Amino acid sequence: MILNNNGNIITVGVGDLKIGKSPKMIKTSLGSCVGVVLYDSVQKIGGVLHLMLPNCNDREGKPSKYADTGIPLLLDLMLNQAKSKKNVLTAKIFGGANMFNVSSELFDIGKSNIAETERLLNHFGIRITASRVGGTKGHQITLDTETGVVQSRIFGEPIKEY
Amino acid sequence: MKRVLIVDDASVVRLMIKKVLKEGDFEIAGEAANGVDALTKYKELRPDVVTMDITMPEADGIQATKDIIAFDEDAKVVILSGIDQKEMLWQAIKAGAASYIVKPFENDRVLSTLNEVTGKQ
Amino acid sequence: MQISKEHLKILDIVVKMGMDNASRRFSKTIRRAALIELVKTEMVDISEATEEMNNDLREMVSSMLQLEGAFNGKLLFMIPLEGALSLQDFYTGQPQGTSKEYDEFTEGTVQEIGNILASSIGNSFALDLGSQLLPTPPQILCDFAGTIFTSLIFEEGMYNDKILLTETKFNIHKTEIDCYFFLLPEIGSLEVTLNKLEKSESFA
Repeated sequence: MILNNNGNIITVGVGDLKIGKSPKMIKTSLGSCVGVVLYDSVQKIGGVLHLMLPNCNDREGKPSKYADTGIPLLLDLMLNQAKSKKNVLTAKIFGGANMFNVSSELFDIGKSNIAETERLLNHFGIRITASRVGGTKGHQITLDTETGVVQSRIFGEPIKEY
Repeated sequence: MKRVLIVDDASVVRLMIKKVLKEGDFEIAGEAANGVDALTKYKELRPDVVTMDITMPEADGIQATKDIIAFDEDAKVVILSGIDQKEMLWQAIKAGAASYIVKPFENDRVLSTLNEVTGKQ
Repeated sequence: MQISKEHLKILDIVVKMGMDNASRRFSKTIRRAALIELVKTEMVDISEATEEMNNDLREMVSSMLQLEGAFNGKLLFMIPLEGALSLQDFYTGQPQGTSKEYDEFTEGTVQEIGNILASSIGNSFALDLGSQLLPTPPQILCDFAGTIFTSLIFEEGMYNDKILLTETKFNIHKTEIDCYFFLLPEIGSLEVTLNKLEKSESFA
């Protein structure tokens, strides 16, 4: 976790978060999960959280699985470990698809993930500068920490940059 | 409307044939996934024509063709064969098959062969 | 939830025998040898397992089923899109290159292979574990490798950071086609069965 120095590409798994400094690229694949990208344009440091569910509700397990525990954790890493200034941090959010195979109990968990993510970022005063969310298909994102640009590829659609 | 019994162990091939038959003027009498079942279904359904795959578990298409012809000498069996199965195709023809179609089959070719065999114009 | 080392060993053997059967049925169905390149049963961290899969950027076709009976779990057969088209030609006995675009028949092929692998594993486990294991009808998913894999582990991963995963990798002989088959048991229900099995004499 945290600062990963193997090669220039950092991959983030489900329920995990990682930060990296230019020239690192941080990438992940999303379904109903939401990818939260925080970027510090001054230090050229970025962080990506891959959250599965909106609320922890005192469940056990790693805090980075949930929006309400993972987002504060990512913020903490950016502010206290990477020493980013809060006012330069911007957020971009991706994913939150309605994957049809997820059981009915989890009906449109993607939507709840998006809503909770937006609410929390607002709550912490982090500006959301771009988002590409929803749909029914998978989503691959790659953050270039040099520029802060996120390449976003939704299954069956052309690549876009945010 | 002529009635067809589709025999193939691959469900997808049965699906492909059904789609072609729906385009033509044929009724699907039934399906079988192996040679043994093919004979049982033939006796039960008495179709006008059978499309028969060659390689199948539990009695292959050649055996099934022999069995069906033994039961009903007027049975019309059309063999579906891979391009690399010429030897087996020859055996099936000797066993009494009325005609054959080589895969990959073209829809028109399937319909024209079945029309020809069942004596439809 | 954890699984004991002894149980992991038993499961590893049962899975290997099951996969051996499954690969034979698979080969017979497509009339080509489906060679097992890897069978691995272990407890894995959800983040690490998905990280690995997220590195595979290919578009895949997959068939997902639930297993119910001796234990509950999920099965996933996954193959790259071009591989699925080749598999379709093998399965339908057509020359390679006949199928060019993903369609209902490609879907049917992947569905059928999923069914065959699942029922073969189900039968093999039923023999070894002494109770039934039935697959539900498959769902077909077409998406990125990482997204499909995440769908497989999502529910189990909600409750546990570590999951028990069996990964099998097949290679179709004399082709470049690689495909995956995953088994993800619900640990709780599996432990009960393995406990029973350990106490019975049949596995001594």
